[in-house]
Formats: sequence, C-alpha cells, structure tokens
Amino acid sequence: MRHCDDEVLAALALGEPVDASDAAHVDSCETCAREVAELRELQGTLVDAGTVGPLVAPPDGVWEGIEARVAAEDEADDPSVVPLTAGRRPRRVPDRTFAGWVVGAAAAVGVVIGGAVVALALRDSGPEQSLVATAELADLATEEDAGTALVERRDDGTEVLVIDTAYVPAAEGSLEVWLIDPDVVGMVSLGFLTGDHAEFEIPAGYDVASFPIVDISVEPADGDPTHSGDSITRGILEG
Amino acid sequence: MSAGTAMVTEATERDDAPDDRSVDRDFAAGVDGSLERLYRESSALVFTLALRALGDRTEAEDVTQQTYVAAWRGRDRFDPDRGPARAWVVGIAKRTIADALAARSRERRRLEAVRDLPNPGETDPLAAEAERIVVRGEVESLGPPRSTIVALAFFEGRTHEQIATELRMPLGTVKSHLRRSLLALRRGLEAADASL
Repeated sequence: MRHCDDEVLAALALGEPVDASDAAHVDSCETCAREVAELRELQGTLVDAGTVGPLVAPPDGVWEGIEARVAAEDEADDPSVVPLTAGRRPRRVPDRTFAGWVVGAAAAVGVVIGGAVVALALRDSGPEQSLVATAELADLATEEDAGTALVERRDDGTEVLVIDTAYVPAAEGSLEVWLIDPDVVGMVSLGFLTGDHAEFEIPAGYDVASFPIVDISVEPADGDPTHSGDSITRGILEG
Repeated sequence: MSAGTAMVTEATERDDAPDDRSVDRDFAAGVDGSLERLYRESSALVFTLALRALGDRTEAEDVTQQTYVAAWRGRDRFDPDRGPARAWVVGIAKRTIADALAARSRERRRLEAVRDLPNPGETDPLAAEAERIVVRGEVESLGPPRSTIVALAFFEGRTHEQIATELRMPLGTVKSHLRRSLLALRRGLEAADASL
C-alpha cells in the first residue's frame, strides 16, 4: 500500500482540500491518519508557543565575553602545559557553584592514610618571595573560617601556594589540594595535605587568575587521579 | 523500509538547504568561527530560556555565556548525527539554568534555614514555558519567509488570505510554505528532543 505524500498529510492537517483518493487512503490508513493527527497537534503547539512572545536577543557584550573566555582557554591549551583532562576518565565534578558550598564531608575525622607528600620543602631559607594573591579558606560543611591560602612568587618566577589550615586527617582517604577554574571544570592537583602548613609549587602554565579556587578534597585511595567531588574546604584567591 | 520512511527522507532533502547542517559538522570539528555561527543562530533562544526561567537579565547573560563556553569545551561530546548543535546547546542551557535555580534555592534555604519551605521544583511550570520558547526558536530557525508566515498564521492568528495580502504573495505559495513549514518543524522538534 502506498502511503500519502507528506505534503498531502500536511495539507489535510491544515484543512486544505486534497485528492479524493488521498482522502480515502487516510480514512483507511492508520499510519497516515496518525501523521495527520500529529501535524494537527503541532499546530496547537504552535498557537500555544505564540503566548510566550518573541525571542529576546542577548546584548552584544555576551558574545564578547564568550569569545574572550574561549580565547583564553585555547591559549592555555598550549602543548607545553599539562592538559587538565589528559588520561583522566570522567568522574563526578566537584560542586558546580559557589552557592553550593555544601559538600558532603561531615566525617573528615579519623586516621590519615599515608599519602605521598608532593609539597616542595620551601622553608624560610628559600629565595626571596613576593605575595601574589591570598584567600580566606572556609570549611564547606560549617562555612566557618578554615585558615588561609596565599600564593607567593619566587625570584626564579615560579609560584608557590602556601596553605595554613587546621589539619584534620580524613577518615576515608587523603586530603588533596587543587586549583580550580571559576567554572569548576578545569583543575590541577597540587599534591596532598599532611599537616597544618604546606607549600606547593604551582606548575608552569597555571596562573591564579585562571585558576583562582583553592580546593581541598577527600580522595579515596582508589588509584583514580581525578577529583573525588568530595570537597571539604575552599577559598578564592584574590590578588 | 516502509514507503512512509522513504517519503520522510525525500521531504528532508527537499526542505533542507544543502549546507543547512554545515555549522553542526564544523562545530563538532572545532572549526574556527563555528562557535560564533552557532551563537548567532541560537543565542536568542538560549537567552530567552534563561531570561524567562531566572527573571534577571544579568543572570541570564551569565548563563548564556556559560552555556556557549561549556558547549565549546565539550564539543567532542557533540555528535552531529544525533541532531543539530542548536538543540544540543539548548540541552546545555537547560542544565545550566537548572544549576542556577538550584544554587538560588540553596541560597534561599540557607537564608530561611528555620522555615522548611516545600520544594517548588517538582511540578515545573518553567518546563512548559521552556518548551514554548524552544518551539519559537524552531520557527525562527525556518528563516524568512517561512518564519514570518508561520508566526502570522499561528502566533497572530491571521488567515492564509490575510497573510497572502500582507506579504504580497500568491495564496498558493503561502499554503505551500505552511505545509512545508509544518513538516520541517515536526522534524526539527523531533531532532531537538533526540539530542537532549
């Protein structure tokens, strides 16, 4: 059985006259009749859509902002920089918005499990340093003050993140320190926190302006190098 | 394959301009300028969705920016065979809007921690509104003269004769545009659903 042409079905749905043979076919063909019914329903949907008013174009600045952010990112894609996603399987992204600093970490008490310390031992004897940015850290569960983070630039141009916080070992893993971008999409691990005071060298190519969020997460010892999504402490670096 | 399917294919070829989907393929491949093309053809839809849901221009601008930056970053995950990039972007926009609303309600809960307000998000009047906006977006994507004809016929409630007079177009041409527009819109909305 040859079905009706789509245009014939649309004509019927619009209430236009069609050939008698087509009309007879639709009367006896469930498939074609259903299509006509769907196209009639679509007209109802269209009338309904008329109630919301025309679309509103965003102001020009919006595109310029997108362009600037995309350009900044493409620059950061320089191959000399360690890619944020290379070799990482997708896992839970840490909480997406700052308003949502409510991250499950109630049980950050217990015994610390080893955890390699990647922090560089930059002690007072180190080269002269200048302050680049500082952040007040907050406990995400209680929203209470949780110490400070600051970024110092050394003579040789490298930058160091210095964390001072009341260290409480995590019950279910190690505490890992991250720098994260404002969209909470790009991030870099700096190493593990094992005491109240720690210093981490920030890898070349990462700057505080692009990765201003200091984040401390609980990482289970599961061999997965990505962020667990279990942030317990955060702060925003401001220069 | 049934005859019905064959006709749908035929109609697709007839109604779609040959390079209709080039923006989708270019975007998937990360071609220079493709993000801007996609933005030009879909940003009014995204911005309107955000504006209606959030009721705040600044927040809507923010969500629009986040949507396209996220789309560009995530373009590897976009499959042009599943549907147009425009529909895919709408999916990202909806999630971004939902995040913004969730952040807002968390904030509200925090502020009104004592009073436990019922969660208003369950039956979502915004979803129906969003669907209407998406339909309008599909109509605009038909391009002139079809977008104008459909808007006059369905949004303004004009008769086909009135449209013919207003646009100085033969009545048969108006009707033919309407038939093809209906078919194109049905395909477009199906694709929009499929790519979410």
